[in-house]
Amino acid sequence: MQNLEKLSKAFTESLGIEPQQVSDTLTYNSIPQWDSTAHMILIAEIENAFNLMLDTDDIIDMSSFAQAKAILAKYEIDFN
Amino acid sequence: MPVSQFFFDNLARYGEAPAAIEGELQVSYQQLQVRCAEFSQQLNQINKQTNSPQKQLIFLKAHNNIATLVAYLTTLQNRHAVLLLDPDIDQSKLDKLIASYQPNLLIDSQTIEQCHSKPLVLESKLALLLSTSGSTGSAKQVCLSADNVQANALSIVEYLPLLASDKTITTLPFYYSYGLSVLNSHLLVGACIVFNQHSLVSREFWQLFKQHNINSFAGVPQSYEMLLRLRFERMDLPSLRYFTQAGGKLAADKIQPLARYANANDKQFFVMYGQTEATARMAYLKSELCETKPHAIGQAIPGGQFSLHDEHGELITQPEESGELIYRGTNIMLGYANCLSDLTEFTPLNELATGDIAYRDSEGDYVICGRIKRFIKLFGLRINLDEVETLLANKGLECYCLGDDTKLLVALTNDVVAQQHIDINELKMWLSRELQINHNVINIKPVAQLPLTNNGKKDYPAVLTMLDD
Repeated sequence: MQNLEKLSKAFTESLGIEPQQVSDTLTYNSIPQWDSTAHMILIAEIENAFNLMLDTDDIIDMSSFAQAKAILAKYEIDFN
Repeated sequence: MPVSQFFFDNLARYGEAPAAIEGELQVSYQQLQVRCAEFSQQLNQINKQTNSPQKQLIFLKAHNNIATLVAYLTTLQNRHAVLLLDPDIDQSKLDKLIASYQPNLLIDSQTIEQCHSKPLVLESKLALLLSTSGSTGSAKQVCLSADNVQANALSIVEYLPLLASDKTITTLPFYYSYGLSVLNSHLLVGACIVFNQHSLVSREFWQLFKQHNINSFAGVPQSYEMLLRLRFERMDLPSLRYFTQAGGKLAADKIQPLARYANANDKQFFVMYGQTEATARMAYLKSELCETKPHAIGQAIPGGQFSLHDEHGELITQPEESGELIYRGTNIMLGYANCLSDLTEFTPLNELATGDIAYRDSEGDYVICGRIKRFIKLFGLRINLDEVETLLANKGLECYCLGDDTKLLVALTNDVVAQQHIDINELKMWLSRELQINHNVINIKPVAQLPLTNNGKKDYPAVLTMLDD
């Protein structure tokens, strides 16, 4: 579960939102805070938190909280 | 290309060459001229019915689309004066602007709304009005002539490797001087513009890029920070020939990897410098110097001239000695305006004091090393720090605003925060919405007090050290 907390924290800090706003339905551009700038800060937070480098395609595709979990699973980050 | 002809007149001179692409729609220069003629007729019809004056002031909501391009070119062809608006402008800010300038028409894509048909006294040369900061809601506009726009476009095509066969993609707003300069310079040589509404970090953007074999693009510092994070330097973009950066200072450690990427992949990277007051561009750094001189802005564009002046207004002739950077060239604006009556006439300006402090190195390249005026540039937008202070003061929040081209710093006293029950995070979000900048570049901090200098002036350096603690 620790990974899920780490990921949630990356979202709340980069998007400047409350923990309860983080859910699988949270998607890019669905809230004004998640614009292209915040997206890049989010990516930086995720890369730092999990100590990895995401591929270009993964950065572009990481357009929802659910998607972020799916992509990170490819990097062997376990959310179960 | 004869200099006497404006790039926006007689678009049909480039015939069947593609001028613009938007989604599935592609228009040739010939077709673009036809669409301008049709739009012109629509305007004339309204004018005839209401007996409107010949030269009108027109507000145009500037979307990155062909309809906006047609409206923009038509107003220039008809020698009206057009003010380009952020299409997402708040209604309250728009109402304020309309009250200040009383435009005859408001155009939003194909929709023309007549505000009134009264004649306005407008300087005959006035062609274009651009805001320097769409964000603080200030009515202040930079007023440009057709000669200004033409001159700057001519300079740009002289130093950038722009070809008639080129296709560029829009990455910046239409109403922003840098974004507009890309459009103007491409139209001048008969090249093609692909209109794009997507962010650099979206799949749609890169699909368009590859589908149309884009040859060039433009970016502000934040665009390149994103691109570097996207591992831009590892992307395979065979059609890309050159890319440009302006709209604020990009850190040297970001310029260098971009320059190395360009050098290694047979592309060119241009670091440029400008202001809306100079239509757009004033300087560029030769692409081969980007890697070795990542701090420099290079030399004045063709047709322009720089000089440096010390605090007494004396000309500085020695290299490495810093002073205010002064620019001369035919792209210098007519002047500023804050309301309609300012558009009646303009006192010609011989030179433009940039407000930037620079020095010239021994090879004649200029380096910006400071700024006299209290503004910062974020996302290419100028943010006047005094205006932000006023904005917050109007909410009853006395504060100091400072920062650089990477962040906006706001210092409030602990007392104000406690007395007014300020939630720092909420205030940050409010300011982010008001200024239309991402909240991550805003830093609000409570401090013990807002220090004054011995002369009773706001002591910004002192508060900066308090913020650092």
